[in-house]
Amino acid sequence: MTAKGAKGATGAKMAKRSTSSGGLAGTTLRIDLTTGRIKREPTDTKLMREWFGGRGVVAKILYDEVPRDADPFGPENLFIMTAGVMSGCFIPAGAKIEFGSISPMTNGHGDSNMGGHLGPALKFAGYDTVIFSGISPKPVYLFIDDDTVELRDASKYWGMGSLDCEPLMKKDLGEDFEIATIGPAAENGVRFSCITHDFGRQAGRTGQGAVMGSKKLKAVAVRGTGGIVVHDLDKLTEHVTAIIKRTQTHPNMAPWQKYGTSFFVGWSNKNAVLPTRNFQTTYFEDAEAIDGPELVEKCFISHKACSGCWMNCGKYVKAEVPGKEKVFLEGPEYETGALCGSNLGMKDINHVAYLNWLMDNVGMDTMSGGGVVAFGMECFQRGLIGTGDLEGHTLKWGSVEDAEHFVDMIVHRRGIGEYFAGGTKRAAEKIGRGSEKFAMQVKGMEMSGYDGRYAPGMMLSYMTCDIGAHHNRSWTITVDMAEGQDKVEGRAKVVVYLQHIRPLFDCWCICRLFWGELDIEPEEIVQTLNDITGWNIDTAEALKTSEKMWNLVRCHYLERNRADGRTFDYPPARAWEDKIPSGPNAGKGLTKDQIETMLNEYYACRGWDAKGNPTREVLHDLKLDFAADAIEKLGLLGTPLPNGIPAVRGERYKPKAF
Amino acid sequence: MERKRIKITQGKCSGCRLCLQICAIAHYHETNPKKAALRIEAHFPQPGIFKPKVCVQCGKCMEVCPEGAISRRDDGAYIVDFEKCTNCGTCIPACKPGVIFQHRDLDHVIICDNCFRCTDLCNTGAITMFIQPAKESA
Amino acid sequence: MTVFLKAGGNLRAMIKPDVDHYTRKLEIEGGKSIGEILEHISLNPAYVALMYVDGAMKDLSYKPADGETITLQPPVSGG
Repeated sequence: MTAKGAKGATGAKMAKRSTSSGGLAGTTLRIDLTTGRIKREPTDTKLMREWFGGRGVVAKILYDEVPRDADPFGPENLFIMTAGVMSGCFIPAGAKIEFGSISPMTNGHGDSNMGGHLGPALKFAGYDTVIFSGISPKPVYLFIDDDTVELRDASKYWGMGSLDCEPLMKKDLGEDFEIATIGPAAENGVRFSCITHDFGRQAGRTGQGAVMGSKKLKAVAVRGTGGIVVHDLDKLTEHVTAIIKRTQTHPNMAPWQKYGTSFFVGWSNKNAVLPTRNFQTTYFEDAEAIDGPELVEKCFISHKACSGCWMNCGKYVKAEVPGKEKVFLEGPEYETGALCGSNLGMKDINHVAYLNWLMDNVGMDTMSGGGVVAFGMECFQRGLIGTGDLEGHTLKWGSVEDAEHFVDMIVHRRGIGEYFAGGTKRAAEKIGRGSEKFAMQVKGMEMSGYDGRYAPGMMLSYMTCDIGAHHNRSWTITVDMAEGQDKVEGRAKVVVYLQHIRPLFDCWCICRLFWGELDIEPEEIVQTLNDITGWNIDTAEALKTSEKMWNLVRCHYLERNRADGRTFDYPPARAWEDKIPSGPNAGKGLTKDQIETMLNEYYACRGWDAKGNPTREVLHDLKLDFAADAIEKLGLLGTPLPNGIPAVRGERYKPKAF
Repeated sequence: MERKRIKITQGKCSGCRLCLQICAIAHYHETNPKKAALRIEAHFPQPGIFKPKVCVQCGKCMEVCPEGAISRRDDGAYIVDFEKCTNCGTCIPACKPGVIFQHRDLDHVIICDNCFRCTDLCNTGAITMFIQPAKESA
Repeated sequence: MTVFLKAGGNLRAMIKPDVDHYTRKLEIEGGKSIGEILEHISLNPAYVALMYVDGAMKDLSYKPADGETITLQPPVSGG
């Protein structure tokens, strides 16, 4: 393809630059933070091909290289940063960067990704993956400027909030550096700390920020001037341009662009799945005051996009709370709107936005943060903690001042802040007195912003998600509504399919929101993947690879946590003991029997035994015999199923609930 | 001849940088925003907006070029002759919007040649093609 | 009178587009609300997160005028 129009403007004298090919930049960095040694090696293309990059490569490296008894906060834990094959390759929403390590929340494989511009920048600089090991003796940040890779002294920045630190680093290093930072929460070992980038994008879940903090790694600063070479740029450009043009006129594009996901608060509330006051109920009387249109009307400054995405779901806003300084932030998107909004009883969009800013700046995941504060508020409501525990403060529903003070106690681990810094599971262990029932988490990580008591597939999704109670792997609420919310049978195969297809985006480092909401078929996505990589795969192979990852992560979890899988797959007792008390779904809820039935169906669907352990038959089918051997040694290999495993695990639901 | 130029509508840019990507693809056949002939200026944390900077066809680059390597095309674009350009960079500070670039892979400067691929892909209306009708006298 | 329904995502199949990839044309009696129109085509309103006419948000009680297009937005499937 040549340039149009101008004479003499076609690509001239391109120097042979790097080892970029097939969408990969070509180099992997291994950095030992203890010694400061930085090693460059060629990116393992076989590993990338077999495990698809991103989440897949993270899963395999963690499985292969982290000792099973390694402390997530210790030197043996790895912290991996990787940009996958599609990020930065003129692919819509090809912006993601994936982080992974053993999660201090779940003690298993943990991964989280974020949009913005850092993923592409890493690849433009020439690197696909950076693997950190060890612990730095002093605070450092990683500095990458094309071929220059250095660990630099971060003492100037240590202690700063993420949103305060980023502009200072840009001023010091250059406006065109892409920066990701942790805040004081991570520096202080708050387990649900996040990583923040581009003034408001986060890799929030599983405590990736906390692992960075434990390694005294304050930030990553990257500038890259190189290019990425793909397998067939002309085909890619043609396909992508067609997708761009088609989606520009998609009927749903305009509202996405205008509100992002913030409009969804109203829908969740109308359908009574909106977590309200720590998931006590599912309908919030003041939801309209914290919904998308309110946000856009009262707080909006500009739309903010990730690299190559014109859905521009990001909303850059200001939050004004009387008596406090005006603050600027990106958000709140749906999850924060729910978990720091209705879940805390907040009745003013400015309060929700303010809490979003606060948590972004101290560097804690707003989802777990909202869950932890909500748990605290319910403990206060029930008299399990009092003002004496809270330095004289209250912790009342809807009080932004109370929430702010409580967050401060957590960040600095003062008094009972120490308990809550570990997340709701650990806080409940310390507080006891039945509070475990309403610690809304699974495997140690807090629930996403949908109540699953009258959406059984959603509850099952939370129970079986590999990283804890997260919706990113599988979201089934419209399926639940279509199939009947009182019925639990038949959900498992839908959940399994979603748990295979959705994480593929995390492998390829593209955004599920763009690709999943605009009628783009999986085959089209795979086609662009093939244009970039030349791998020539089809959708079936993609799904099978994803299933392989899922099982590997499960085996890894069993090895680290040394008990049958089923042990870890239950929701908190509120899920079956507390029927929804109010709102349109009042009186509804699941029973313990239904929970057990769903688990039984799910395991059978996966080719796992009734104890939730993968069987040798399914692991063999996925070429994971080595993983089978390892769990067998611990007595955790699944008992063979009497009728064998299903030939294909998981089934796509029609209509598509992607 | 009618003049075409890139028009900026302030307040619409979302910072997606698709324009930078397609510019580099069109001219250098690789995805590399540092080879684009325009830039997006980000103003964060305050006021929290993006400002596209594009060639305004002022001709200052041509005026200052010591090699005579830049010439004006009839439609208003300023075109670099890659053979004559020595990459001295004298034109760079003369460019008010700051959209002349050098790159380590290239031995000439990068100046917008008005191909309008960027405006074709911009989805927010931040940059659009503006056509000025032909005048009687040149 | 004539109204048009426009939808993408998993709503697209449910409205059975016939004008173009996203659009369905309906002939209905005047004075019907969006809620009644959805009932007429057996579409459960729970699947609809937002409704728009000419960029303005509407609700189920809105009665479209002749020739108007109602855009239906499905809920995000998690984000």
